[in-house]
Amino acid sequence: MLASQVILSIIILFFILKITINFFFKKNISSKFFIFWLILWLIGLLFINFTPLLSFLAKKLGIGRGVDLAVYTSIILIFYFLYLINVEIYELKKRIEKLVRNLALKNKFKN
Amino acid sequence: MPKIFIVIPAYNEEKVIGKVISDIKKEGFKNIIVVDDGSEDKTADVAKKEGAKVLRHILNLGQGAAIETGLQYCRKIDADVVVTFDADGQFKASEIKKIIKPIIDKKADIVLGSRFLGKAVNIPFLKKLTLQAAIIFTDIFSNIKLTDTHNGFRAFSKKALNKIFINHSGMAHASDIIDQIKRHNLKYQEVPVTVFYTDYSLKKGQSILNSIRIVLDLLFDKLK
Repeated sequence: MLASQVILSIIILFFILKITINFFFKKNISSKFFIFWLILWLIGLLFINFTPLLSFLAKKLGIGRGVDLAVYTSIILIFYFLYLINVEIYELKKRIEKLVRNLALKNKFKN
Repeated sequence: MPKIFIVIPAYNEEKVIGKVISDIKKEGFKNIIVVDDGSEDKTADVAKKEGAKVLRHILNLGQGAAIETGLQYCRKIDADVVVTFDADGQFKASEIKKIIKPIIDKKADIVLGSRFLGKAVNIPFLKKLTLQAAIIFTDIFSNIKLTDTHNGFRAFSKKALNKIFINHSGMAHASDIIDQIKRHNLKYQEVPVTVFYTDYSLKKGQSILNSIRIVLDLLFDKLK
């Protein structure tokens, strides 16, 4: 096992532990999100420790190196999360707008 | 006699809002609603003193959201005609009668003011260029040919009031309204109006850069 594999594995294990602890003790993430994150990090762990598997998949997909596949996947995931965050912000803005509007109207009708 | 309401969205307009309201009152319109969009100055107090009804947003949400609050109030009190009017003194109160006429005569559901059919006094060149671009943009995306798409001077009939709900809190609401006119198949008419560009209104108004944001806002909404 290479030193880099050990370091990366430790980092990933830390994240896995963190989300598990978060879920079981603080409950500030939903069960759906918990499972999604867990699977995501476990896949990462798997690929880091079985690099031939990543290379094999990369070849099958017509991408030269395993590490390229990892980078491409990360970029896709990052864009996806950005999109999710954008939608979330939009929804939040809508809710704030509704709240502020209702307050304005309520106060007017009270007067 | 139809119940006519004038909705004025305002953000930090204490210097001019008083005159705008008194000019409208002089024209015989008593039902004036100022939506104070979270101003940090005395806009709400000045408007109240002039005799307008004031709805106050505790946060600044944007012009689109402020107009929608005004429209919602008008829906609740069952208004017949609603005119939207800018707070920065760019419009002529004497033209309100002209803009509501097609609705009173039942010739249109919604009336849009057009500075390019009317007069745009002292309009800066870049502003004119951006507005022309907006007209082309609207033609492509909403499929409506208008001579002025981003004019805040409009009149809504009761029908339009109950069909159009502004979704864009920012300046993109102008395109949003046009989209909805098309979607709900509302009868619309353009009326020439005068828009004055003063140093004050230019300082307060939209920057050219902001128009890029408006386009991005609209695209995001279409892709969402």
